[in-house]
Amino acid sequence: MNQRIHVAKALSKRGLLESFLNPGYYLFLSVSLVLGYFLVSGFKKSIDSGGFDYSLDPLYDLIGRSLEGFFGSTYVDQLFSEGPFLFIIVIIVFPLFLYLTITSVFKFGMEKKAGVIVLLSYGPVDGTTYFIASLVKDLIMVFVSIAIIMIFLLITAVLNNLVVGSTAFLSLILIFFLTPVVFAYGILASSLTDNSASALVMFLMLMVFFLFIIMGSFTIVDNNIQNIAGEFSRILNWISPFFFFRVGMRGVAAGNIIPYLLSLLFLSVLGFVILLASHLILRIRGVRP
Amino acid sequence: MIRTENLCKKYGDFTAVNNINLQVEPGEIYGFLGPNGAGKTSTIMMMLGISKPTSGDIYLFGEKVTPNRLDLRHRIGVVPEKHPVGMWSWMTGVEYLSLFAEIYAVDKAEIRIDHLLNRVNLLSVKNKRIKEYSRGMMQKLSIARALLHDPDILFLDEPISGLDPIGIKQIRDLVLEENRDGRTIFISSHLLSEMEKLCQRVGILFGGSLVAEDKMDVLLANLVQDREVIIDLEVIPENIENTIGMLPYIEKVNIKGNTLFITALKNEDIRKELSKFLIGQDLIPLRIEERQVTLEDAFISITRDNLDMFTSMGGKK
Amino acid sequence: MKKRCVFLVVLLMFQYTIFSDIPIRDEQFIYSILAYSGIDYTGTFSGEDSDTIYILADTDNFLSARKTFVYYWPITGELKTDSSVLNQILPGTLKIEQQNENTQIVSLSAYTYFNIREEYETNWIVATGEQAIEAYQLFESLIDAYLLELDEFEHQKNLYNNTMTTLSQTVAALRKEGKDFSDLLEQAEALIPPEEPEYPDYYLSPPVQPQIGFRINLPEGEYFLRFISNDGNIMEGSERRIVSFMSQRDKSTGLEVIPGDKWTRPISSNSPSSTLYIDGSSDIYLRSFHQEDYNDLFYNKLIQNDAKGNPHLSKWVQIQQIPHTQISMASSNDSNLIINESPFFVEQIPGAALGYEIVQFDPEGKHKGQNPSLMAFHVPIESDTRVINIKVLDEGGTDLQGASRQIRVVKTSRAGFLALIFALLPLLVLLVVKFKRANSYL
Repeated sequence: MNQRIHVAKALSKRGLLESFLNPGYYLFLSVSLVLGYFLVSGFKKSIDSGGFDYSLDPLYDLIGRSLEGFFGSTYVDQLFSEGPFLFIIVIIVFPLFLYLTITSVFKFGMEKKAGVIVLLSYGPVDGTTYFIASLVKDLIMVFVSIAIIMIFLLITAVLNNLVVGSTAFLSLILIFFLTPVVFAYGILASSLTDNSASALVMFLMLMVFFLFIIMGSFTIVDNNIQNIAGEFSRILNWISPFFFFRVGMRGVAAGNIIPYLLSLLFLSVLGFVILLASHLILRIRGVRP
Repeated sequence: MIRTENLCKKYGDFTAVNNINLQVEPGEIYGFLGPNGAGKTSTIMMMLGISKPTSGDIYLFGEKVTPNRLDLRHRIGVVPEKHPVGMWSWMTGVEYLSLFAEIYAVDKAEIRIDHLLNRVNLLSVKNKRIKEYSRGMMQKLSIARALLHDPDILFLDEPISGLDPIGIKQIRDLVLEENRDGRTIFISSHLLSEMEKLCQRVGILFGGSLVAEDKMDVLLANLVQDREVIIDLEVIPENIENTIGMLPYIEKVNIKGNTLFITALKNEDIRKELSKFLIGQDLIPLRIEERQVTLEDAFISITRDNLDMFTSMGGKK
Repeated sequence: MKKRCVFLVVLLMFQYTIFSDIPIRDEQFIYSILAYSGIDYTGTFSGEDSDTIYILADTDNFLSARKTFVYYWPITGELKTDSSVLNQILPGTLKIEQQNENTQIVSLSAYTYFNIREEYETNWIVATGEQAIEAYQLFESLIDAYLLELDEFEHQKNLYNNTMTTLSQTVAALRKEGKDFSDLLEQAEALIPPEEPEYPDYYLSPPVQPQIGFRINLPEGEYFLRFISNDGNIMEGSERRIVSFMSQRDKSTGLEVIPGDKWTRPISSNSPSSTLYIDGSSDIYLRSFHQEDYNDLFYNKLIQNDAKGNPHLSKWVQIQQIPHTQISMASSNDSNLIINESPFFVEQIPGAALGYEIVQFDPEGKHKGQNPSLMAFHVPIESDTRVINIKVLDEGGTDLQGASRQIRVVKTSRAGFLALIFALLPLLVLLVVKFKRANSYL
């Protein structure tokens, strides 16, 4: 076990170095933060003597109307009740983490296909140690990204006399617990497939499907979409990371910490189960390309 | 050092490895020969604990190999045929080796890395990105990587495939040097001519079965049934092929210009007898030479039809 | 020929634009619903396309089965009834079941509802049967009495005015003749003007004329509803689900924020964790409300049965203003301050500005004889104010639940631009990393 930990540490360190040498991370991070800057500016422009009114800024007017059309006015009210940051977190975290998950899945698939895992397996590394290292690396990347985003939000908040509310803060913690599950699904997809393209397609299809279920059952725009998504969600909620994210956020909105803590617990359990499944699949299928 | 007992691997109905029993002694260079698809890689993967045998057992250092025995993998070094260079291309040679040094927890890694890079003649390019390395350099780097943790056994899978003659010689010298230092070496290859120069003992794999296993010279002697003698004469008399063909151990005589190509059934050297016979016929041989039969010549004669013959010669069908 | 074709096309287009917006009316069986919203009674209906009726648990609500015309009104995007041609109340009973158990048969009865004036705003009373008629008669009698008093007042006022006119004319004549008229003046001073009777203020909302309907009061849960006509048959298409729901959380305190320069555009601050952002260009006026938390979809559909809503969200609904409260205010440039609720009056700004201004209500001065426009807490916003923390307190000075808010004054500043520099920092780091890395190669 100690040997596995040692090897996972070495591999994740090298993975981190590789990630931090990759220009893509800096570009996506910067784009996300610049997007955050413009969203804060737009929010400021939407404030008048009576408070926040999204119709005052063209960008927010578009966002507000779209969100209201899809999810209802109550959703929009709650989204902006503490300020812009809950919305901004969702918007800026999404492209960055999409980049991180896609590169992770792609890399895993590529390395499996190219025979990197087999090469490592000639030594004291097995498939499980490898994906644990990959996961640890991804989690550190997520943690660093969240920390940078948090610092950016706090600086922006101080400069503009805004406040990063408790909901936004708690959502970031929830996102930190959500991402390992998303990465675990990436590992599962890589374990089940033979190359990075198939792994990526499987992973993206899974995520789009989970998002459809969660957003579809949440939308008010079309009853049919809501009903179909509702039916799926009854069956598949328990394996959808976004479902637990929503449960946690509902807990926060309701001022009830128990669903929030439970969602953190369930996300951890779900992540563990998916990793266990990946471990078993890798043992059965092997790591040879 | 390495021992397999009734090793089998099946993929569905297909038998990739069929009841292989082999033993590699400490300090020897063992050649594992066979054409593509003979089951070499499947056998090696089982030996390394990466894939599980359908039946049979493998012992490394006297201990049974299972996929969980990561500790046993610590005592072996592997040089695969192909490296996933693309995935490591962003690293320099020294970064590449330091990653593996960390994985294997190598003591005084920097000194060891420099020593090995020096040994494989890569010290001067250690800070170059490995995407700039040639195939030969990459192969040498791979050997350096495999030797990083000072393994007891070095597995080499097609180590010279695709290398230029200088590269082949460098790798050959390196392998021999390592063996001189006492390292057991297991080489899998289909390039028999090279194996002949390297290996002390070989096992020949065909259709998943180990059809022959012995010391190189014994194996060659057993495999070689016919001898070919080439004789240059000043003048070729009429009916010479019939005259020579009368000899009891001569099977066939061909003439090309002033040269006779004589195929003999006899196992022993017939050059003396032939020389005497020709002088007796007032013919002066300008050159009399027996053509060396190589492992390659022998190997190509291995077919399913004569598997029984090989088995009777000591092969392990 | 060409001209004719063009004319025809134009005519067709014109016809399309005229007739496309004419709603198609459809005769339907509907349930007319009078639902209690927690604040007051609101009317909606459940037509053929609706499968569920939403009501608040443990409150009195009224249904009636009707035949009427239903049409879609595209301007507001809602279904409407046209009762001008057909509005037939169907006689019969309602059968309400909960999972085939607890069957209730509800019969038609007369009902009325009214809100009486007490300290709190919502004191709704529902009366059915005879009591409904009595309640309405009581209201009528009060109104009748008031009208009689008003007649009497008008009569007395005329008498008073006539007497005063006669006296003043006589005084004027005596003055002209130079005679003494002091007796008449004393007489005039002794005259007491009649007092105008007060409108009966017992009711905030008077009883409506008794209607006929089914009174529904159900505990929280889901029910199945059918209408049985007088011939004993279940009316086809009368099946509905009833969702009887209640508040999901403890009561909380909501705030209504009225900007001093836009009193017609108040905004609500309902979520206890919410922050109010304002630009500080005018003072704000706050009103505190008791609020209840309901499922967004259920509540929206209670108000209007064909409305949309999000079943996964809950929303705060402000029920009524909380009397006798005070606000504790701590701003970044002030120590703690207690603000009391005061009456304010909204004045229209004269001239071209066409705005409103909220001023202190002056009952003795310029607002004499008028009622205040609102009772609110005035929160002054100074030019250097950045953060104000407020808490709504009850009479005894105790914090009300969920009644703390932070107000932040957000002004345009160049400082925010620094965030853009931070956002671009990763690119700078990338350059440094790439430069260092390139130098490390051979």
